[in-house]
Amino acid sequence: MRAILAILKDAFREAWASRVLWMALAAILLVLLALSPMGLDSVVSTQLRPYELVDTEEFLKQLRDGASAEAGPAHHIWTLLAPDQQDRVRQWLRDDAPQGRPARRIQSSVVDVVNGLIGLEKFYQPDAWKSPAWQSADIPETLREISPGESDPSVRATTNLKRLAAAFPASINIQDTTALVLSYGSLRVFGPLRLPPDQVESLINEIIIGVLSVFLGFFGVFASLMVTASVIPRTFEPGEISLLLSKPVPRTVLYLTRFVGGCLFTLVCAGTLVTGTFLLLWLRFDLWRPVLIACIPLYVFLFAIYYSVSALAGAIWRNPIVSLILVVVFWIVQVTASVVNDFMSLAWLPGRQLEELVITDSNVFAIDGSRNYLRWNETTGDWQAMLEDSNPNPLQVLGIFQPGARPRITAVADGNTVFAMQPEFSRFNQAGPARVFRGEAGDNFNRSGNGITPEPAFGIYRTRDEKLVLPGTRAVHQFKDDPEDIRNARNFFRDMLGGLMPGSGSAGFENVSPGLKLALRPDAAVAWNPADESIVCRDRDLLLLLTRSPEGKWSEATRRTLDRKKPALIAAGGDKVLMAEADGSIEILNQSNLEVVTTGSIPAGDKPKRVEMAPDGSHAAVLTHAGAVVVFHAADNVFATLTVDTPRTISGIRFVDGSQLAIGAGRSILIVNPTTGETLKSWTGQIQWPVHLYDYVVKPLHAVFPRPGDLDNTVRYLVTGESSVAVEDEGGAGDEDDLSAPRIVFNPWASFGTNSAFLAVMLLLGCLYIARSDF
Amino acid sequence: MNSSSGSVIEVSGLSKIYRSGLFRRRQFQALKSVNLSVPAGCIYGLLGPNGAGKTTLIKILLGIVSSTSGSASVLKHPAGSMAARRGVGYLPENHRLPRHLTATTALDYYGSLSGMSPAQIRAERPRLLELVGLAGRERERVSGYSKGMLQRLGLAQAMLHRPPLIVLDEPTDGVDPVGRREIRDVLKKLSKEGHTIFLNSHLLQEIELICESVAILNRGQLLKTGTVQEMTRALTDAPLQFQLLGSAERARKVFAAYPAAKLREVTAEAVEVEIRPSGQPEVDAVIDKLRLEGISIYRVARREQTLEEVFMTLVGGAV
Repeated sequence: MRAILAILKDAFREAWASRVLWMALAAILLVLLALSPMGLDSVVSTQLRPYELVDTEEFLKQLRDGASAEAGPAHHIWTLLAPDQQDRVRQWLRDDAPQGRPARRIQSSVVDVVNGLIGLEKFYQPDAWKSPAWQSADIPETLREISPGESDPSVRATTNLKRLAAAFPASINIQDTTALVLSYGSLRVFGPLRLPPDQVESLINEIIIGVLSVFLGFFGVFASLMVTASVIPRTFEPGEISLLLSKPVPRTVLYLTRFVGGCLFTLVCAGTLVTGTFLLLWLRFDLWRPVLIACIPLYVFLFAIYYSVSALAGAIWRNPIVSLILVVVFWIVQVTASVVNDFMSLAWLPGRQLEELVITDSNVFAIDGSRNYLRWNETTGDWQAMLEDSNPNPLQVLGIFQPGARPRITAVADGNTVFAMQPEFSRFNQAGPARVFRGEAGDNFNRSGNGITPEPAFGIYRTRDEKLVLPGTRAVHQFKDDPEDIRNARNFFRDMLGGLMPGSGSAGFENVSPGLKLALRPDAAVAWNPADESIVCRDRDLLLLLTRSPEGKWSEATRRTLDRKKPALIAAGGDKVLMAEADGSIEILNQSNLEVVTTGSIPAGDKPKRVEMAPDGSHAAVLTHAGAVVVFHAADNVFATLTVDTPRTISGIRFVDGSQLAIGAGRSILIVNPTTGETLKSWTGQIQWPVHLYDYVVKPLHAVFPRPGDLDNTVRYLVTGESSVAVEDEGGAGDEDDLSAPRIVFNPWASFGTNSAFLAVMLLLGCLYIARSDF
Repeated sequence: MNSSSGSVIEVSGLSKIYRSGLFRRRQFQALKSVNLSVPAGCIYGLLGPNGAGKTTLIKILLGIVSSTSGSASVLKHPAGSMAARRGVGYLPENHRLPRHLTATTALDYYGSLSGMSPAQIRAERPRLLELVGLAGRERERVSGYSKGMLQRLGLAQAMLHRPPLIVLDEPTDGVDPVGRREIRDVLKKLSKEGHTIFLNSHLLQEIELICESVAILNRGQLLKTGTVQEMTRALTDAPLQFQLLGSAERARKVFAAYPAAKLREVTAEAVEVEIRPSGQPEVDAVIDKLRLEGISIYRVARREQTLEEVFMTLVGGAV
């Protein structure tokens, strides 16, 4: 024991003497000290934030149209714009305006322009704003007049913000009356922040994960490796090792203690940074995160994995440069192995998974992860593409999973006609309108008919009287399919133009919710209840029930405001509503009053991905991103996890009726008993060779290969308590608000086994080499 | 301290073959069936030219290198075992002390590795630093030490835990003449205290000055062992020195048959002659001739050889 302590003490002496430890600790303490005065202050919101501009295009169109109006908010704001700003608005609305990431900057610019005006005294002038729409706006009368308090700029801006939201209800949705300002000591240095206050914790979590991953997981580990790479080679230099080996200390103890001594360097640095961060969060942001301390051994473990390679190389070749080169080679190999596995498991295989399922009497339809519409071909015993896009996305052609709003499909009962809805991104990178088209068995399910919803839509549903209904962000729409002669004409043009579709538009949609003032966010959850054809909506803290009148119109029946603004998924059937939230809680509601009947939960750390309810309300199911299915049995009022015998992760669910649950798993659809999980029927597509490659080569290798990079997932789990993360969409950011959006699911502890085994093997090899060598 | 009689090192039929190359095909035999016994309480010298296998033998004794065949024991324990190493203090050739250490921390470190408690180290340290002449400089980093100071510190760490056996590999390497003398004095003192010192050195004069027994190793083979006196006196082919009273001319006449004879006139009637006779009959014949020629024989004796001469004779013969 004395010898071990002496070697460890010497490791500290060495680090101390080299001044590297001093410098590292000083740098960490300086950063922590510099950050310590930072804080977040809550203030009254005086500015429009980008996420509150829910439909940029609509807002700009209203402004542009206001130019030609005689009065009204849009007209007045248009007149306040400088000529160059007016030109920019016109440019932004051009068809060739940029999309994707540049469009986000445009949205940000629009917000800047509005915020530049909102504090002006002349922003609101009662006479200039007078218009029929403004007069009928649902706002307090006090907002229509200018109060004396508005001489205060902040009061004026706050009041004008409310007026703006009231004037543009379809495009502006003010969520919070407070905003956060970044402060440094007593100074307010930045803000208000352009994110909802309830997302601050998520933002801080992401910053913590980023700081720890970058500073400790990457730079920290490699800096420590550079400092400690010479420890083992120097120990085994001829002049030193002879002296050490002459002492009564076993060689393996000498090697292992030297190894641990190297790890102590990282322990001190990681301990200082993580403890400092923990204290900072606690004292400055009032976030009590003791679990952060667990990140200290985690990063030491991460370092130990790389250092075990360095130590073994150092013992054999006694050269720190060779040690570092081999560590880099190991890093490249393990990153490459992870990338190959991730591509297969997160992009290619999910692209092949069946996500949307429709079972009819004569046909089985599905949509896979790469947005291919499929139908089961009995003759070939495989899935066959249908409703093919004449201009498909390259990722779709390659069969690679595509994140973003999910396409939907519905079919008439005989299965000979299908209707599909393909959401598209708007030019401002928000969820945009959806294309709606159809396919018929007689036409070999080729894509025909082509409409574009007037606004983002949440789904496509078929009523008992064979009407197609699409609930949108502002209204419920009914799709009036083309008459047969027009459809034939479209097909003719389509064939003549080699698959190119003729023009399309929103003319085929009828608003069937007159008088309903909806302003749902595009990532709200909307459910269709086939029992009574009602629609249930959940948008942050709002729960809304829309019922259908005998005339086929939808109107608000029940409204409930929740005490939380969390993203959720929703399903309806019979007289019940199922609601699953991001934190894993499940609630069964009585549909008529939207009050909670019973509650349950999905496995901890997981998030709901799909929710379905049997048409008769007898069962409900929640599919999680990890592939677990939790079924609610109404008769017993209990929740139970369903066990299904399938080798693939479950990717889709749909109730056929109260006693049959369709499950999509890989390229298979299974009809199972929702109570027992017994498979009643199945359709299994042919397995392609890349799947075999993944099953028999990539996956086993990945299972046994060390994956130090996966420890970042463990850190994420420790910090957020979540075991999945949203996949980046085209905008470059994961959509945490859309629970059905694809997520990368990980087991935070999965890599510990292989990493520990690798570490043990490397140390064992080192010990064997040292024990058997002559020095 | 173990100063009992008997051997502290016993080596029997010890061989070592180093293998190298991609498939370990190349072989080099460093030791060939070496037998050696080192008595307790003496200063024992190990002599041999470079590559003779001296360091290999020491490393096998300390368990730093494994033997290919044969056996060795140190302090009655298998060579290289923990028990054996516990009783050995070792100063390797060209040893390297970590540069971040001072003399104080180095003794702390190596003392702890030897199993000493901090209190024991603190008790021994001042005396040893004084003994090796590093008192007053114990807080300086060893990176600033001269080669001689490093050797002294290395010697101190070897003695720190008062081991019964101290193995020194070239202890005076890089040390100035004064320092060498001081180290010699230290070793003699240790020997008097009952320590056995096993010394490996190229410096034959030093070995001759302080060692009681020596072993000569060449090309992995042990050529000779014994006390220094035995080594220098026992050889029968040592030169024969005559101190004669008579003229040099007559003496030259007698020794004309011995071209290798070295004749030196001391005075007009006194001559010294050194010859290397082939055997006793030849000595008798020379004496008869001298007497016939009327030359008085004042003294005749075999000249005592230096260790270097013995070494060169043995090693040269082996070559």
